[in-house]
Amino acid sequence: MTEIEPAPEPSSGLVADYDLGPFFDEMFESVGHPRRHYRELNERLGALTDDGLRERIRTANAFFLTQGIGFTVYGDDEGTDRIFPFDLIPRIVPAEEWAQVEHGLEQRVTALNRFLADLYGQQRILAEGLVPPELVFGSRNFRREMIGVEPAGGVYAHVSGVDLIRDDEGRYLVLEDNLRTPSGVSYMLESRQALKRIFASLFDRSGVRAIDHYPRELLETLRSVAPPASTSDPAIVLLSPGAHNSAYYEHSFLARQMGIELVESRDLVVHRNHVFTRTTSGLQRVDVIYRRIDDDFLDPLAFRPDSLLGVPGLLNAYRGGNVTLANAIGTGVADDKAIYPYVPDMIRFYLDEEPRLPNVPTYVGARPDDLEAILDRIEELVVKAVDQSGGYGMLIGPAATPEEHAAFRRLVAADPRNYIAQPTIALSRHPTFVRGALHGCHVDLRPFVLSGADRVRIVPGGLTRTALREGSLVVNSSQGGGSKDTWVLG
Amino acid sequence: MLSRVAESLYWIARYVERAEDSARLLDVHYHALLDAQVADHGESWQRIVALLGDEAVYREHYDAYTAQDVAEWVLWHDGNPSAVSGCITLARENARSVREQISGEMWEAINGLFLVVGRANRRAAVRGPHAFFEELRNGTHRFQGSADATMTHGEPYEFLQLGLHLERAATTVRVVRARYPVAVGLAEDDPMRAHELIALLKSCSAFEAYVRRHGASFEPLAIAEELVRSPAFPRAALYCLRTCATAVDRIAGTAGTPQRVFGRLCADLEYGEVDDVSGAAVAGTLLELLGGINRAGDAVAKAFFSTRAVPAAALASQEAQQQQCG
Repeated sequence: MTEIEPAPEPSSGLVADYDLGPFFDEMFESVGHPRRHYRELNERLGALTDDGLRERIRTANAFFLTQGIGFTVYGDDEGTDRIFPFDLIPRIVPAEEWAQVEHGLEQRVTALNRFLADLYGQQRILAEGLVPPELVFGSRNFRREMIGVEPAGGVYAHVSGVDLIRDDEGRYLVLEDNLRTPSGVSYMLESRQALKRIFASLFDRSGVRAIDHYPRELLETLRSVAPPASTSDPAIVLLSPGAHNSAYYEHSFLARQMGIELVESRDLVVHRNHVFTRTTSGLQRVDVIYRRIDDDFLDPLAFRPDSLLGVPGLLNAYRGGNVTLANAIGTGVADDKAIYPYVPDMIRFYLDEEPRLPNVPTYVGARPDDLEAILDRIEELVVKAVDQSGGYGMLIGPAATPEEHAAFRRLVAADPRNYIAQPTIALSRHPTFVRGALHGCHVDLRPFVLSGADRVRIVPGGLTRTALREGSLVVNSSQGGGSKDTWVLG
Repeated sequence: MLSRVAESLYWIARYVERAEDSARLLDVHYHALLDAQVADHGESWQRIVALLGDEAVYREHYDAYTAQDVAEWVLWHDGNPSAVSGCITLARENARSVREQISGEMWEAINGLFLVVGRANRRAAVRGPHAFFEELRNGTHRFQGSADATMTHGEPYEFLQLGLHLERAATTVRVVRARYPVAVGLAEDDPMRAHELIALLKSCSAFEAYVRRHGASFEPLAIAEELVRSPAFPRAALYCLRTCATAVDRIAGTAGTPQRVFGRLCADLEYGEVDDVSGAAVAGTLLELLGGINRAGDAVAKAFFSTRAVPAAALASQEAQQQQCG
């Protein structure tokens, strides 16, 4: 029996002037016709007066200001806090769509963890010739110190942030994996808190799935990987670089929410291969460290000797199995740009399954057919040097001059293994308030995947980031991006 | 609790108290001089600078001791490590790094102080510090009061009490030491004598408490007794040190060096005989007391903040190995 639905009325007011552009729009199928899971929201927005809207924006700003939720912008007079730009209109993901995404995330992160265990163990995938060994051993994030080390529960990436985008047909694609110290989960949680205060009535009948159990799930994950010798109530701490770090708010927030101690390196000391906190009543044993410091800075004896953020002797205590680090040391090799194209093969190799969440199509210079395609179509591709990041060593084909195309052709031909290329993706857009009017802004989605010794936990949704500048594809919070609440429907 | 957190809490309390004490001293002195029949106040302003810090550092920045220069120095000058604005900034930075340990009300109070200092009309404050002092004092009292009313009275709270009262004891002793000899140096019938003694009392917020107990007769010895040896007046050295002793007891449980140091200081104050009340003798005794307070601060730092946490045996064994290598 098919359900007969009345044709939706084109909306009025704010929503009426909204321009869809040549992109996949998360909310609207066509002008004035919202997708089914957005209809309720569309009606409420249509009914909102300008004053009602302004009032709600004020409430949102006041919430973020009084909670002191800011992020530090580097190079902006000495790290001043700014309010995190928050958008009122939630992004909605229907239940069946989320189920697909969730499966795909679990599958992908499980394979990545298996890959890490393999790299630092038997290296079967290299022996089989599926991943070129030079990409692994040449990666600055591969840590020889980890070879032969078995972390508790066999887990490497306990907290993963997988960045998803949708293309012009609304397909979910993985843009990149973040397996080191992904941040942003506090914005996910605070965005929900903010929207509940501002639009409480919206939540009544919408069946939005809760996310505020994330800190508990994280704590369970960390407990599950405590060293086998520790007590049934392991001592867990969150290691932060300190109050000047741009994510310090998040560190403090998560420590408070989990009820664990927030520590800095000077609070920790290694003695006889065990880690302790320095307390007013002497040394106290630590079992699990949720660290938000990069590998390079963790232990000045093992990595950067000039690190003031690290704990001397930590690596040895870790290798001795006396403390668990989450995430493990050396996970960065698996979220490397050079390794990314091989993740679908990993999923087939370790799990014998077809990937449920595809990569953005990627040409790998090391593959002869792909190399030919890169050289032929360089004008339409984004070409990236795999050993560089942050926009360096990169060519955006459609925006570049013929001279630049020629220069990059020479670079790629000379060192094909160092390059990958991707078509430019038209990221999906979502209606967003920018200066009082509704604009289509590009969005991505970062769900957080928790991998414990017992199971994988995923809180429904994630952090939806919006590019607030007209036409901008950059969604980083430090680059003028903002956030939206993300609703997964039950 | 973490040593770093304990240390931050202790210093937050000290900085907030120090800011209030310095501003009060400046305010009281400024208004006392308005009544004084003297043309040149350079010498008395010099005593204020010496009382609050290092004269030599002041001389690096100013040629003379004028009311406006000293006010600028005490309130804002970047070269003054104890300037009011610097203290408030440090208190806020420390509070930020232990944000999860203090209550929201306390955080708001610290933030409010930071805004008071940031927004203050500096030129007006230098010409007449009273309005600024009042606003600052309201902020520091709000912080201290909200600590009392909104924070669990556990170990973190005791570190705040420890810092606050150690700072307060030291300030009171320094003020008496600087002003008492000046007052007793004046002839008994000199009207300036009472004037000096009143300024001494007001510098410690003790004027009303003293008058209530002794009436409006200003006896130098009674005043010194009230400020140093009163067990009930909250800015008296004895009261403050007893509060410190209690805090240390609650923190440590078992007797250690800090308890012994505070216990001895309190006993000396309580049972010590005072037979020479001349300015020089009192100043000498108070200098000794100030030394004792500083040693107590060192004992606290050593016991709770760092040294004890380093495994002494490991350190010693490493030191021994180094000697064999050499």
